[in-house]
Amino acid sequence: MASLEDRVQLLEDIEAIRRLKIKYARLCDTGYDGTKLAALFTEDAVWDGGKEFGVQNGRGAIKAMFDDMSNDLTFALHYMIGHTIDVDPSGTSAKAHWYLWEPMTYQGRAILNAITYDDEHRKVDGEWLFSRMALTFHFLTPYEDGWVKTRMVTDG
Amino acid sequence: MPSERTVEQRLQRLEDIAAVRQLKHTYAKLMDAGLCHENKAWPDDRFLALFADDAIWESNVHGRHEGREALRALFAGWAARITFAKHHTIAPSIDIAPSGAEASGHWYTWETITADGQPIWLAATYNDDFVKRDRRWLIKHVRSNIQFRSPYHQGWAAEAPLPQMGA
Amino acid sequence: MSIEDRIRTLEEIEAVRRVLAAVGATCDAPYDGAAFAGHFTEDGVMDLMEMGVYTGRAAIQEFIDGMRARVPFTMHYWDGYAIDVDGAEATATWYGFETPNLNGTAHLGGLTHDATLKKIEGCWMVTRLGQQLHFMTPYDKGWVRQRVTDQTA
Repeated sequence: MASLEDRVQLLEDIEAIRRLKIKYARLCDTGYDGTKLAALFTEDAVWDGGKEFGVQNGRGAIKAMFDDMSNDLTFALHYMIGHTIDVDPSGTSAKAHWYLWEPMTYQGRAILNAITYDDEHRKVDGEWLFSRMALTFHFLTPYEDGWVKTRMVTDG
Repeated sequence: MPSERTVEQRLQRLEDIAAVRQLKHTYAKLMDAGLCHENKAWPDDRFLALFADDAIWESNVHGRHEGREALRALFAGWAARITFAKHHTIAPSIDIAPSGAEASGHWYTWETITADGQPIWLAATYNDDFVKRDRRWLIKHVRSNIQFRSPYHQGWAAEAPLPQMGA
Repeated sequence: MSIEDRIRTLEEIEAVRRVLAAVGATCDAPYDGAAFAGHFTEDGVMDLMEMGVYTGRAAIQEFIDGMRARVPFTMHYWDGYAIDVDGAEATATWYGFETPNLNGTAHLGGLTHDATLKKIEGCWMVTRLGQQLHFMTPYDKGWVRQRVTDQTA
């Protein structure tokens, strides 16, 4: 049986990782500040947007991607939903799963986005960071169409 | 928090809340993984293992289904019609009973579904019971109160309200 | 910080989350203005920006009960909480998604919220609740064609 200290630490880690994800959402929704967003990732982190949005390797590439994001993506609300957060017994890495519900405006069009995230985390100098964020797009549909008519706007 | 509870008991309660929250998320995640074009063999044992043997699943629309085999049949019926689902299951409010062996939880779910080839919005609340057996939390009773199930292009104001179950 | 203090912090975060969940649920149809306002301090403030500022339990209750006539149906999907507890005071921010029936038309609403709370006699009470409305659009239009439908009309 883990000690009281270890058990409290685990719950604190889960809360910290939850807060990290919400912080990510808030930064996305207030103008995609690339510097602040990149600071949530480890130096060697991977942002994996799949075949639709490509893979960014390293904090520098992730910063550059977010710096460009608000040119086309002029409005978004990232509803981070649910989550399982499993902290490794070492207490220095973790995996998380989240749903995202995201109404957004992309190139002047209203778009509904449904994603699930598979995140990986590392604790660096006492702070939890994203070491990998992998997105699975379930639909990215023009609002007028819905996900049956147009599942992925990128297909068109 | 009553002061007569030990530090250990208070910690245990927080751990149980976290475990029940993760269990419900896993329920949504595995259901959505099952309700898709590619998966013809759902519900699988991994999903059904989230439920107690004598679990009940009921809703104001689907009626009451008791026991794991009844649940299997219910979910298989959905899998035959639903080719896409995302259960965005949010706002957990979880109570652990003083015994530490039972819990209840309330959630909202905002679902985007494709049923019989048509896109549907579904809004519901869950009022669920959980039981801890062999140190593992299991779903004991799902009560889903569906507020609306509306075609995407019609919206939810055009329909008469669905009758609601009591808690 | 002692183990006991660390557990207390986690308990308080959970307790604040629970209070805010109850606040959200009581402003769903069919609306319970008394229960909703009961989570506020006597001089609590609800700042809905373009929809007005309501000060004190009585004014808050009246606004929520008045929803019954204006908005026959809605649900408040509240989540994504960031809660900070400092002794007997707490602050929270979160996301809200709503599905009201306004003027006979289904709407989608996208909001963010913030609150300050105070622990009084063992209960977390809301001293201020704020909201930022990002869109409130008819389901068949979307937030680009019509960002906000006036709810006060």
